[in-house]
Amino acid sequence: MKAYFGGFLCCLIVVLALAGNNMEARAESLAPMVAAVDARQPQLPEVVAVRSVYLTIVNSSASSLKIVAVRSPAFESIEIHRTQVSDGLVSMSAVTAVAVPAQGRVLFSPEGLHLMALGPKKYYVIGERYPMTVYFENDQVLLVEVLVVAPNFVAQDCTYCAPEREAVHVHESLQHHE
Amino acid sequence: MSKCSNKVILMVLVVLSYFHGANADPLETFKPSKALPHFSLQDQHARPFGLAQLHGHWSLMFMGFTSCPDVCPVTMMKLEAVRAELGLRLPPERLPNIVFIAVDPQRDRPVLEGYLAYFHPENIGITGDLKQLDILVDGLDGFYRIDKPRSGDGHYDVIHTASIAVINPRGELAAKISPPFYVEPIANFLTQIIRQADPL
Repeated sequence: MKAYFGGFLCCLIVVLALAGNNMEARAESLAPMVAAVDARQPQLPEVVAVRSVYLTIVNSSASSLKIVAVRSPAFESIEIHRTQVSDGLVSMSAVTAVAVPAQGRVLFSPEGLHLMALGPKKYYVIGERYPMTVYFENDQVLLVEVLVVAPNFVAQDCTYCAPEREAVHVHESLQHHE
Repeated sequence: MSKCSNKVILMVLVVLSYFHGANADPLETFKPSKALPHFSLQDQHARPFGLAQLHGHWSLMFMGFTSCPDVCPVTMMKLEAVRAELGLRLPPERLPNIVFIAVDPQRDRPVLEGYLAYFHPENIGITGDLKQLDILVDGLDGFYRIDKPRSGDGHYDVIHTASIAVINPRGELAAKISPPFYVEPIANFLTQIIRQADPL
């Protein structure tokens, strides 16, 4: 299990910068206030033109943030979606913005809030990574590296199944920044 | 009222709440099992698939669509995990088939073979005319609705029943498993009902 966590933590990217500026220089001064933890995309068959991306956004700052868009050069578009089960029916609905509370976090996870990536431009194999950018209100951005994982990695990993695992990840993330 | 009486009332309430929770159990058995109607669909290899193909073995059927990035592949992988667990408990002839009912034939039919093969070569995917899909879905007490394509990229969502239908070797609806899906309890449930059933 430790190896599993460790592998995912490799995709931890913590760069908060102002769009349009020298991002590396800005990151030095602003990081590590916001982190993306465990960013992963379960691989699906090549014949399918959609993917899900899961991650946790940890906001260690004293201000709340609002995610307004997500983009990646690996896809035509990425949308924020929420899976809902109601009255025995499952449906997905688009979410226009997601608030990340101060000193809090937001979980994008299987069978819950997640990112739906449409139109893959390349078929990434398991173990490959690609960049993704999370856009916040006020032009702030978070650069993320997404790891492509085997689909069975999410079989025991759902919104209501693994609160302990999520807590461990966040803890390790915060330690990383100290 | 004495302290003893209070304790008795409390115990009764606890027991009642337990049984109330049991009634809301996501693992539901139908006694007697419900007969399914005749339907005419095709599997991922374009071979006919109807009621006859459900006879002689257990099946776990669930609805979905191949353009579903979240719930459908996750459910597929969970059922794989369930079947792997059952493999430790049941003889091979009693292991259930996994049958994916693809309710978006326009997008599903061209990719169904590759989609199913990616997850497990033995998985079955079926689709076909909407009228025939409706017959099967109604027989399973299910529902689906294909949304209108949006302007621009033409993407659309499909709302569908979330539960998994357990079909016995007589082709009858024997049980229903509702989300959330946890591998171990589902494997325990299926082991029990398959072992209790008549020999094949």
